Parts: sequence; C-alpha cells; structure tokens
Amino acid sequence: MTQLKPLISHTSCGASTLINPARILNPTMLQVENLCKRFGTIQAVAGLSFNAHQGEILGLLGPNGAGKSTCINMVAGLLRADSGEINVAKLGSPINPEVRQKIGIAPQALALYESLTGEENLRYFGRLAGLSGKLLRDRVSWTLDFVLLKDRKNDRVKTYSGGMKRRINLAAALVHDPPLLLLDEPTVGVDPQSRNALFDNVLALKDQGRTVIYTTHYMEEAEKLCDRVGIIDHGSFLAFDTVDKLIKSHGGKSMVTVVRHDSQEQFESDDPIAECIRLQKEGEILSLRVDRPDLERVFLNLTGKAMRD
Amino acid sequence: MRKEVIAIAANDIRLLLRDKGGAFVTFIFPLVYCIFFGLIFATPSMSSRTINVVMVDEDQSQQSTAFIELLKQSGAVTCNIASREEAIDQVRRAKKVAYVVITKGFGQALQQVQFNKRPKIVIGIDPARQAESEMVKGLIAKYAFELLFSPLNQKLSGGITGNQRSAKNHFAPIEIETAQLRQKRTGPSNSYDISFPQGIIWGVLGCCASFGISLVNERTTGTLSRLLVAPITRTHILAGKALACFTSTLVLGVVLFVVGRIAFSVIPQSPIHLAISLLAISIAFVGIMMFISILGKTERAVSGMGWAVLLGMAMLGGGMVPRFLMPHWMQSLSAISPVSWAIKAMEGAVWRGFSTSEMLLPWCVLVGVGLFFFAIGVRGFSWPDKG
Repeated sequence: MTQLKPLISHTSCGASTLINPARILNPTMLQVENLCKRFGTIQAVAGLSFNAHQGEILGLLGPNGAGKSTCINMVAGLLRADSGEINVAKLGSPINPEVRQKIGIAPQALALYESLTGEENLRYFGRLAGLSGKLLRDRVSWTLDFVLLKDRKNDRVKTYSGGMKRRINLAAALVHDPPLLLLDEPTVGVDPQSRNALFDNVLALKDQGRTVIYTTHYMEEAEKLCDRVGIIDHGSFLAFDTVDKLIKSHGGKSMVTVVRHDSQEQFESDDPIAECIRLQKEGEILSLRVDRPDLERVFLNLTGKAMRD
Repeated sequence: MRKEVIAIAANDIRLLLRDKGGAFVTFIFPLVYCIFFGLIFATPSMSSRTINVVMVDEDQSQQSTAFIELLKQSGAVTCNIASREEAIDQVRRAKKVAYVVITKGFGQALQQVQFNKRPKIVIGIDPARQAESEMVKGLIAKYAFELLFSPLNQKLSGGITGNQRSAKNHFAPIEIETAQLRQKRTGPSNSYDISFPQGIIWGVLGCCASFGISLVNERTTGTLSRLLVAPITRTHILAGKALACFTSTLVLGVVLFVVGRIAFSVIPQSPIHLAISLLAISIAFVGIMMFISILGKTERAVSGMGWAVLLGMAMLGGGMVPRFLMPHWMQSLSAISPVSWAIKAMEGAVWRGFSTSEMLLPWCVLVGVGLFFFAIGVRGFSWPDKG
C-alpha cells in the first residue's frame, strides 16, 4: 500500500494543521449517494451522501440513534439500503462478497471468539477472507505486531484486558489488508494508555494510505484524528467539513473571562487575541481565560442538549 | 468445497472442543451411556407387562387351537398367528418380542403324556429382549399345564392318572426348545450391540444442541456480523455450520463404534449399511440442529427449548428407555421421533441383519427429516439484518 506523507498547512487563524494529501492526490475509496434506510416507522438514514478518499480519516459523530451504525452497517454490506448507492473502491456495492474483500470492520461490540487465542481468531478471519499459507501467516504476524499483541498471541481472548480486546478487534478488521476500514467506536471502555495506542494505530493506518470511517462519541478523538467530520442526527448530516471549518461555522464565538482586583468580566469575542491585547492595555489583569469553541460545542449547537436514549 | 466453508466448520469444531461442558455431553457422556446401559441390559430382569408374541400353529389340532386361545385369554400375552417365516421376520424386525411355534404332533403328544410323549414348542426371542425370555418360557409352561388338565385334553386322552396329577409340580409336560437366533447372526452378539446405538444417539443429540446454540451465540456476540462482512455468502456460512455438525456427528459415530469394536466386541453385520446409516443420521440431525437454532433469540432460550425438543424425541424414540418397555400405543407413536429411526437404522446394520431394501425406509426417513428441518431452519433463521 502506498505510503503518504502528510503536508503541513496554516489555517486562517494561524494554527498549523495536517492536511491530508490523499484528498488532493488520491482517488475516492468510498462513494455514498443519497442513502436511505427505514425500520418500520423510523427513518434511520435519510439521504446521506458523502465521499471518502484514500488515506483519509472520516469521522461520523452523532447522538445515540442518529443513524451512524446503520450507515456503517450498510457500507459494510450488513444491511441493504432501501435506496441510494454505495460504491467501494469503484468496484460496486458491498452486497457483493468480492467488494467486501476491500472492507474491514471493527464493530463496537467486540466480535471475537473468546475461547480462541488472539492468533487463532486472526487466522480464522484471515481464512474467511481468502488468505492461506505464507500470506496468511505473514498477515497474522504483521497484524499482531501492529496492535502490540505478539507476546500474548497464544493466550485466549477471554484472558485479555479491555484494551487488548479492543486492539485484537481492530486487528481482526485488518488481517486481510483492506483499504477501507470501518471503526465503530473503537475506544469504548479502554484506559488512556490503550486509547493512545489505538490512536497511534489509526494514524499509522492513515499513513499507510488506508481510508478510515471512524464513529465516536469522544469529540477530542474526532478533533485529533479526523480529516473531516460529519455530524449526523435523525439520519442526515447536519454539517460535514474539516474540524476547523466546522468550529468556525458552527462553534460560535470564543468566550473570554478576565479577572481583575475589583471585578470579573466575561464576554464573547470573534477575535480573542485582539481582545486580550486590548484588556491588557486597560489595566492590571489577575487572570485571563479564553475558551475557544471546540467540536463538542459544535456538536451541542447542532444537535441540541436534550438527552437521547 | 470452498475453503471458507471448511474454515467455518473447523472453527466450530475447535470451539466445541474448547467448551468442556459441550465436549463432555457430545463425546464422553455417550460412551458412559453405552457402557452403563450395556451392563444393565446384560442382566435379565422381570417384567409384569403384557408380552407381544406371534404364534405359529404347525399342528392345526384342537389342542393347539385351544392352547392359543388359552394364551390369548390369559391377558399375559397379546398374539397373532403367522407362518414360521413370517413370525421369525417379525421378531427380527422387533415388531414382536418372540415367536412361539406349536410343532406338528403337539396335540397327539399331549394326549399321550402318560406314555412319556412330550409335546414340543419352539420359542424364538428377540435378542434385544433376552430379559423377557424366561418369562415367555414360564408362561408357555404354565398354560401348557392348564391345557394338559383341561376338560378337552381329559376327554381326548381318556384322562390323566391321579399319580401324574399329584406329580404336577415336578413334572414337565412339554419340551420347550429355544431357537438359536444368535448362531444365525440375526441378533446382537452382546448387550453392547444394543447400548452403543443408543449411546451414539446421545452424542448426536449433544452435537445437535451444541451447534444449534453456537449459531445463536454467533449472533448475540456479534461474530456472525463479522462473518457476514467477510467476502463469503450466507450460503457459505450456513454450509460451514452444517458441515461442522455433520462432521462431528459422523466422527462421533465412527469413533464410538471403533471403541465398541475394540473394547466391547460390537461387530456390525454390515459395515456398509452402518456407514450409510451414520451418514443418514448425520444429515437428519444437521437439519434438526438448524431447526433448534431458530427456537429462540438467546442462547438460554435456544438451549432450553432445544433440549426440551431433543429430550422429547429421545424419550419417545427409545433413546432413554428402550422402546420395548413402552406401552404398545407409545411404541407406535415413537415412529414420529427421528431418534427411533436413527436407532432402527443403526440396529438394522449392527445386529438386526436388515437387507438393503429394509434399510431404505429408515435411511429415507432420516434424510427426509434432515432436509425438511434444515429448510425450516434456514427459512426461519434470524440474520442480524432481519432483527
């Protein structure tokens, strides 16, 4: 698989960010057009359209029941869409088993055989994907190495920690070397160390030129990993763009809090740096805090604060 | 066969072997069953039930007719009349417990008992029913005695003397010959010939339940979704599951018969018939396994419902209690249980000496049952996308 080096660019606000070269150079790995799916009276997915390019990490954010998993399941070929089209690697619909060869999925619920060892799980899933012989051995070995589980490959999965199970779940998605990865909340229930290891894995996969569709509830993960983010609710996109552009267009203003000897002031600002300079000129400041809008604020602004079950 | 199907089957068998409880029920328990019931069947026991026999009247005399009537009226036996060949065949097919041949000259000899003539009766017992052998002989002797001192015989013989009457308790008025069925190799060589087919049935039921539950387990743990995302079709997935159950059932049957052959002298009369029977049984129970997998949404539900169905089949089909201990109406009803056909197919090959044409019925029934239940199972199987 082609190795792609990320480019560094500067945003309008001066912060440096990684621009995924795949979006400029690489072909489309996944095309989704006007996808719809209804379960009884519930419209789970209502006309989703998006593209994902080779070497891109595309995040799908949304509250519970927004339609993320239904979308992922349709892209994986697990569910048939009522209407719309999915084209994977320009080979066609994932309903076709040969097209599914290009897809690896790490479902949110750990889909592993707990009474088998990590290696046995990977060998099994590799065989199902058509691997055999030396190629299978090499892929299993590489994958175990990649998720840092080579030392525990002969232990049964039921003896693994939560983080290790998440990593072997990712490995099972990778073993047949698919160019398109669907990671459905891959860091649920893991400790910060394992989460960081998984982040490193995902970024390494991107560097290898794989396309990753990543669903999560953790906004900092999306900010850290995703080139573009789609915020879904009620089965359709409320917004879809790079993180910076989403924040700029839906995050609102920065909140500036200034504390002086005799007063405390809080106000919104479009240009917090200019405000800071102005405040300093006005007198002594005990503390100054600038809360920039982030993805979480974007998310709440778009989807509302009402609880979802 | 596609290698992915074989991979699914191999994985399922590995999972079964990793599950100690499932492996015990499938492989160890049947062997324990075979040995335990083999030992029990080896010890004769008495029964007070009515015995179903077939009578052969080769004498066609007044006494032979009266003897048959006496037996019928006794309530101890139920009987019908047939030729000797038909009678032997009925016992061999396990339709009757025994045949009783009233030999030519029976009536004449009965009239001349005081001149040391002894009427002769030949009895052939179903080798699987040796426990009832002495009971049948005792009944024949008892009613022969009654006939001997009946008004009819008194009239025809001119009366039995008082000395002979007083010697009733020490005097054997008839000669009972037991037909040597075993020498003709139409019966089991030992009790393990009977207990091994029944034991194998328990292993087959264990396989059936384990694989049925494992299919549901794949769905509830999410691994079925991963299989569905793999570049294989649903047909491959179900074929892999079916192959795993089929292979395990077949291997179980072969291994137990090999153990029976080596350690317990279980020698099939027709190894080819036995091989086909095991194939037919495997097909039948693969279908039933598929059916069991749709009896519930969770492992617990499928386990409960599955074992209820399987135990019902076993109870009715003679897997728990031999069919001959059941009331006659239940013996007839047991034909609806695939277990009874499976046992019949194995016994037919091992010791009943069924011809190929006689084996066709159980084989066809088993294959038909398998295909029928497999079709229902596939149709009703709840894939993750069907909810």
